[in-house]
Amino acid sequence: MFVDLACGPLTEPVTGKHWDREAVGARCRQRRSFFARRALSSGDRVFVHYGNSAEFFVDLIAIWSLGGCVIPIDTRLTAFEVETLARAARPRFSVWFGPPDDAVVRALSGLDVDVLDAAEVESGPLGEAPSAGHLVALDQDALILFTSGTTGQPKGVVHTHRSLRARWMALRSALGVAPFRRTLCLLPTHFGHGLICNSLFPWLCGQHLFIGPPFKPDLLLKLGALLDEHGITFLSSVPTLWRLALKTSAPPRLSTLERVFVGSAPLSAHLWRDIQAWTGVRDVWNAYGITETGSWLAGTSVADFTPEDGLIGEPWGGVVKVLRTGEGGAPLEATAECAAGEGGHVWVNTPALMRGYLERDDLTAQVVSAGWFHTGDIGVVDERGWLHLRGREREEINKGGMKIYPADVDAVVERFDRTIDVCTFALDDPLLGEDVGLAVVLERADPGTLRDLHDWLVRHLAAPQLPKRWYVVDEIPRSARGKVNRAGVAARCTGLQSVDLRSLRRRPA
Amino acid sequence: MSLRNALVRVIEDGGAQLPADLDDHMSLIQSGILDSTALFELTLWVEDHVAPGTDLTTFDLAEEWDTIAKLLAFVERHAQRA
Repeated sequence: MFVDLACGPLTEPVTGKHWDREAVGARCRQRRSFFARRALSSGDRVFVHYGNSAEFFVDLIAIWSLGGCVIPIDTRLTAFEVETLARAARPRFSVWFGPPDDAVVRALSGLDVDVLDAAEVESGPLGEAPSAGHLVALDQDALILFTSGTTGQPKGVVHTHRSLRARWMALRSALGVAPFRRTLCLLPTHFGHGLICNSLFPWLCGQHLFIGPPFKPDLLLKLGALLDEHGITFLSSVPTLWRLALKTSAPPRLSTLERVFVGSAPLSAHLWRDIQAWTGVRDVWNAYGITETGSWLAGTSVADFTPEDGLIGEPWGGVVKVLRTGEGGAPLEATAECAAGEGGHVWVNTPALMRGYLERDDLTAQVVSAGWFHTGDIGVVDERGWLHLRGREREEINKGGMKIYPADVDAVVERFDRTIDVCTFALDDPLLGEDVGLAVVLERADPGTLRDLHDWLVRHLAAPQLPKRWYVVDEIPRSARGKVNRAGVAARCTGLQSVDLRSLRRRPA
Repeated sequence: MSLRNALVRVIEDGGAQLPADLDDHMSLIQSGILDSTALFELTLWVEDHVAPGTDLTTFDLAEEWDTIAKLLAFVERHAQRA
């Protein structure tokens, strides 16, 4: 299972918890026994409702060693969203660390899911004799990451042990492991960038992983000191993290950093240079990754680059082509390839490609063609063979690296009983790049209706999906075929007064 | 609008959910009430209210910005140098 057959040490900078390799091994065996006693067996899907902790990583290994498939759940999801995912994934277990959330347990009660509190294992004995390792079938499902559809039709990216290992082996071959020997992860472990690449790649290559809570303000305010205190050599990140840290944190003094990745959202040349200056590291690389390809698939591991808007660089363990067509379903023609400098659709061929979307062969067929994956990004390859991204064609809001799908928000607003029409769109945001805007047509727009709608959204949408600005409008313009132009609606709302959400959000005394 | 009310408004506009009976000595950062988005909005607001060139990275902001009272004192202290 492991790239180096040995996990590295784990440290939680916030709590001070530290497990060396031996302790990690013992914890993995202890927790494997815990899950085995509960009859977790090969092929079982397991919702894991915690992350960004040492326990999360040893539980992931324990579940994998028994043949289970891990489904990390964003702890901010509402009970309604968790139930929606459970109906799609049919997990056998729902694992918590500490008391489970009552509302979620109620939501799962009719779905034949066993709810476990993995904190119980803390009182049990540590594992005994070291195990020689466990046989894991490479083509068995290892990980399912839900990227959208938490309010309706979930889209779960299924990775097998083979596709994950292909990603890690490719990264190791292209990047080496030495710069990753003391890796910090402050990204959420329920999405590909934070889990597969920032955390699991170094850790399963035997390197030391420092894991902290994602985007915690008091950590970001002291980021430089944190890097110094733990001798961090590598961290990956998103532009949002740097926009805040550069303004508020003193830079590191000890020059331990060797490499920094920035990904999941567009990186401007200006911010790129500022990060280089703050970190004192030239190897600040723009990393391009997609959950479906096991995250990081290309980056600026090239000589003598100068930061440019949209510059990615070279692929890691795969082939990237820019084609004139964005249509799947037929084998790709060589003649469809764009010339150097000509913009087109970015396609990827990699052994790290997902097995497919969970129970959604229709969606898989839309993006995979003869082994090639249609990324949904628009790009160009220059004369040097370096990839540059120019935009995206898929409909999503990139909120600080987290992808919000407007249709997911629309689906919830539409179900509110006084909604006539709705359009969710991207708002420009100085920190996050984009945030969520909402135009809604209501039967009435009185304070009571607005409060009821607010309460409805809070009950059904995870906090990051909640619209930041609401605009109550008379109509949502649509084409003759009923399609809505989200960018057009956003432009129309720009000059309107938004709803004052502060009074709706305020908690009672 | 008073400086305090403007400050509270910025924090709420950043998405933070403040209690109706907000206490000016209640922890905002270390308690987790302020997330990174609200903190960024707050940072932009503070930059607009302190002397130009004030380098925020030289302060222990987790401590100095942790309550409404401390934030107002910080702004007052550093605006006076302008």
